[in-house]
Amino acid sequence: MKNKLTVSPSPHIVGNLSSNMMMYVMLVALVPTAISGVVNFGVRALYMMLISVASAYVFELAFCYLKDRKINWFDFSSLVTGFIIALILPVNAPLYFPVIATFLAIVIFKGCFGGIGKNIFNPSAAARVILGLIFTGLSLELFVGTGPIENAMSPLSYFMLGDYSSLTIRSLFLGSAPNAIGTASIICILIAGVFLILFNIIDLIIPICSVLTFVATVWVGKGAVAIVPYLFSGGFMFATMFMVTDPTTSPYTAWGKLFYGLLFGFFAGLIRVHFILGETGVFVAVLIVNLLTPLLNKIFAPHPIGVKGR
Amino acid sequence: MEIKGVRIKKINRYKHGEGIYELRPPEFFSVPLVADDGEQPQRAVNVGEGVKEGSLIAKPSGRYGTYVYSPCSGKVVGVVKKLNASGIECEHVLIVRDLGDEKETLEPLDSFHQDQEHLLKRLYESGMVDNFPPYDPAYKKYLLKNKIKTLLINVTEDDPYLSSDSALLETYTKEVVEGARLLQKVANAEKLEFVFSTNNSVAKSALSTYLKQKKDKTIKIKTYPSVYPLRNARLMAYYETGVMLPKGARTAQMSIIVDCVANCYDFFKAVTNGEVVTKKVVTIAGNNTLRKGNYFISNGTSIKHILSVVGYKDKFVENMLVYGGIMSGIAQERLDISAGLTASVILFCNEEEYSSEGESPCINCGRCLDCCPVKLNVKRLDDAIVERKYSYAKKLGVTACIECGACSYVCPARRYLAQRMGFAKDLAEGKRGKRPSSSDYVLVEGEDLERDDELETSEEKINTASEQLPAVDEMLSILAKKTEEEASVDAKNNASKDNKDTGGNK
Repeated sequence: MKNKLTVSPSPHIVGNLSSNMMMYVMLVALVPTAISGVVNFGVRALYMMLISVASAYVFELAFCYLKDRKINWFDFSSLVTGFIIALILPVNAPLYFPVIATFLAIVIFKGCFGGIGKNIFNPSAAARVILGLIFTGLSLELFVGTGPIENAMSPLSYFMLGDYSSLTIRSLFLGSAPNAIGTASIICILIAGVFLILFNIIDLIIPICSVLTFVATVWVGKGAVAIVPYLFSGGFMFATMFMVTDPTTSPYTAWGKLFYGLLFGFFAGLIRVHFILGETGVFVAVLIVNLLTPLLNKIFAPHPIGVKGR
Repeated sequence: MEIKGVRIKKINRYKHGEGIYELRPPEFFSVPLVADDGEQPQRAVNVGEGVKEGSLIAKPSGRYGTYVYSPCSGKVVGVVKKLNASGIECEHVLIVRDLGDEKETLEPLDSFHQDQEHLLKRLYESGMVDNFPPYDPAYKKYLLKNKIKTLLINVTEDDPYLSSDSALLETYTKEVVEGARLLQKVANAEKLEFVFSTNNSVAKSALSTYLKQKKDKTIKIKTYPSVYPLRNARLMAYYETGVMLPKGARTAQMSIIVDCVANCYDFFKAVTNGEVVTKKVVTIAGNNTLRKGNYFISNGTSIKHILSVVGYKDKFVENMLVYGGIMSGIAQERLDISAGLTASVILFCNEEEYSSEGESPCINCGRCLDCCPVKLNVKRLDDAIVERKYSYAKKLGVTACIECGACSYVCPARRYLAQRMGFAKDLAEGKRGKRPSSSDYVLVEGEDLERDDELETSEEKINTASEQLPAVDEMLSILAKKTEEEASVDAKNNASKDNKDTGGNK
């Protein structure tokens, strides 16, 4: 009888949810939006996604190799980032766009900040904003072109001009209106949101608060008629569900999350109402609230029970 | 009061009528004289002496020591110094069992002698030790002069394997309730309450039917959500009173005493039969054991013997032996560890049951903050300790940590949070290996990881209440004085009454 027992400090068991599991569930949650993108915009959307995911994975591995970091072959976080980047790009963007965007996201905004968990900006939002800045004009007018869609301008562009005639709730919810690949179909985003909340991946408080203040801001700025078109177009719902709730860049206390959601809704609404940033506006709002996260963490830091003073 | 913690799926739920088994006694006992990290007692037997079951083998030498009694009749063949199950080096008395069935008992206390003074003395003599953190001698909780409002019997089984309390309460309901009544007398408490968590409904229904039969409405039953941790006495007192006491303080300061079912049962036996405590009900579980269940296990039974009686499946390779619950127990490296009186669960797990995942970078999700029962900023502390800012960790309140391990359990990145917190806490309390001061601390090569000059030079006392309780003798004299005073007050009252009566007559 050998006396070889495993010794480790307590606790000896861990919960079911691991980081990798979270990323895996996130990937699954993104699948409905991807399917709606392919159905609505054709096979090119699928190519975009594949290119984006593959390049994100390759960039992650290459960066880890060059920086002598531990290479984790089953790290799904880069896949999630790549997936999200493809979903927030328009379908008729050049095929090198996702490659540039994933480079920015994985290498610049994540790797250079210290890898997973250390980034201060949401990588995909930051990459999307930088992409918009590099290709000024192009990314704003991407929908005006010879894509497969006849009505080439996005609904948001009409709404921003004060024209709500193209609004049909059905097209917004099913995603048949021209939009970015994943942001078009609201119903798929809501399904994904329910899925993520059921699996305890995201906190319900952030989407609810951001929707509340977004609606309030748009109401004050543009009147009640603009609420529905603004809310369900231009990637706001996608960003609240998948990007603002990103654990790394959002605060970790309950009150911090609440205010974070409120602030995001406010900034997104403000940018929509007052600035002509179009689709990019929401992502700029994401970056702004990302910067506020350390402050919120500090303000709402819990006070340990039984310890005097602060 | 907001109850925080993690919800863990109960693996080993107590089923109705499962009962408690007697373990076949081993031929050979090695009785640890120190339970957990208590005081070293004074050995009362020498090698070669014969002992009976229940005869004294060690008596307390310090202020808060415990009596240790022999678990069997036999002969003392040796005294060795080795590690007990909590990893503390202490003397173990080796006893070889013989066939004698003689028992040495204390004098049973009849109802006339069941007053506070005698009962406290019996509590002291019986050698009872708590089987919940902080694993103090059982009488230590009751040594406080202020008035006690509630005596709380904690039956919450937060560990996924633990079921010994349910088993004891269901099998010996009468004994436990009577024992709780006696403990209430010791504490002089106004109320007696039993606290259950939602996952041990069998024991709860057993108790409530018993109380209904007896038409006893003075005992209150409370139910807590089944979260981990709940067995910690300080935490339970916090949930009940809203005040979190510093480490080392007695919950009696908040006029509440938290005790467990095992102590009630043992105390009942000690008072009515005069039996001293030599065995505890222990849950034996884990995938590698064959006959899982609750067993009466004598003090000093080696784990090897327990496993050979209970039966095990696999070879002892790549398995884990945990003394105490899977959430806060200690994984043992050897099998010759003897089970002491602090045991509540002994687990023999195979690799499916314990996790051996390595840690990955924190993803900042904040689940550790959500579950921390003392509301520590765990994420920030983790960062601080990794960067070796121990004085900053102390400022963040690491000394408030109760080392339950809920943060480590819930962390999706599998960070070693509980270990780090325990390390920083020990450093802040100056406990880590009794570190020499910096003057005689010579670094040979490389970097000193534990070094934190700020922490070393700070003279500020840590917020651990090491208030001096009265020792048992003092407490007994106080009680005697009190009874005298009461008697004199009564006499006065009677006298005044008499006067009044006589006055009325006049």
